[in-house]
Amino acid sequence: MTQPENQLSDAMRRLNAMAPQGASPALGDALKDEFRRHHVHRRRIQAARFSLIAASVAACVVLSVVMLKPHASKTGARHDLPQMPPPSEPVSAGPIEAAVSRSTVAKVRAPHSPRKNPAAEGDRFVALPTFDPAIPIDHLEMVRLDLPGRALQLVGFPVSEEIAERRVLADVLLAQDGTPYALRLVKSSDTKEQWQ
Amino acid sequence: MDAPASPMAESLSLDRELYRQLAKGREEAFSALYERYQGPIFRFAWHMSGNSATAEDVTQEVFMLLIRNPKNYDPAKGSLAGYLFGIARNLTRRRLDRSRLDAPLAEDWTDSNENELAGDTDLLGDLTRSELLQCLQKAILGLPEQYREVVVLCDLSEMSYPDAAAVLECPPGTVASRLHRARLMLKARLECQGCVK
Repeated sequence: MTQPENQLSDAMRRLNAMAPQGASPALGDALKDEFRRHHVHRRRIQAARFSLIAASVAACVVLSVVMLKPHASKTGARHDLPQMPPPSEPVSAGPIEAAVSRSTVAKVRAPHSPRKNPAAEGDRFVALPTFDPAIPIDHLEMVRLDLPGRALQLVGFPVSEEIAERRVLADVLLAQDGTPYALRLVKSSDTKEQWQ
Repeated sequence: MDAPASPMAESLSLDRELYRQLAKGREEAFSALYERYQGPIFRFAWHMSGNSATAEDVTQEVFMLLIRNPKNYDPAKGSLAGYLFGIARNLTRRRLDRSRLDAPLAEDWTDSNENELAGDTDLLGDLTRSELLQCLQKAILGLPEQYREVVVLCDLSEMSYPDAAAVLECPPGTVASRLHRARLMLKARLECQGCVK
């Protein structure tokens, strides 16, 4: 490198040293806030996606139960139809009996055996948002499902956060097309061995 | 804050780890990357534009892109520093185009000027005083963009030819030849401005 080139390089270094050394601290703070906001938003979207997937899984479970109905009917488990009350009123267990036998569905006992199922006796069916009283109820079927408490929230059944975090047993009243009309919380699956 | 003199020379593995953590949403990783690169990027934009507001805007946009689209960066294609400087370069160019700050090189620049200046040994002897440094800054800002870029990256940011070539997306030989020509242009401009005896 020649002398003038060295001098020029030296001048460049001096010029660089004279230049502002960075952006204002306010910009750094603003960018960090933006980073935080962006990732909070991203995590919310991820949670929503997860919920959607969970709802889809729950819907698949319900549909698969409905598709197994012919198999269940071969067992001769046909039952009386319940009378659905208006959606605002809870439905008593009444004469409904379980009809579906499947590995994912817990053993169902008839609600009219109260001594063996005291929790079920105490709980009442609650109409779900999908229940439309204007539609005639020709045939309802009750299935007992072992599922995450969060899935109950997804179909519109109010549960506490504590229950939402656990697996629960629930009786679901299904219309012929598989639409869940009402739901009754039976028991936490943590204690389900009591029923079996 | 201590900005690295040559961000391209920093450990690639550290950058990649910080980037990986950033993509996962770790704020500490973002802060670390910001502290590493905001200074060099700000200075690059400042030297290119001669304007602090533009430099601050460019710095902000570079990091906003990193926040919003972290997956745009592909580690297989080069260093994170090169990626960030590349964004800064494009943003600065756009802003310069908009503000028409890109002053063209004097039309009378010829190869004969280059030959004369190449042999001038005492031209920059006085380039130590601050007013002369201002002259130098003006001369740099007056360079055509492609020459200004190499001066800012190689001479002011002290980036190596291969690193500058990665940012400018051209061969290292092109960087070297542009830099040589840019220095000659600078000498001529300084002489024309009367900044040197």
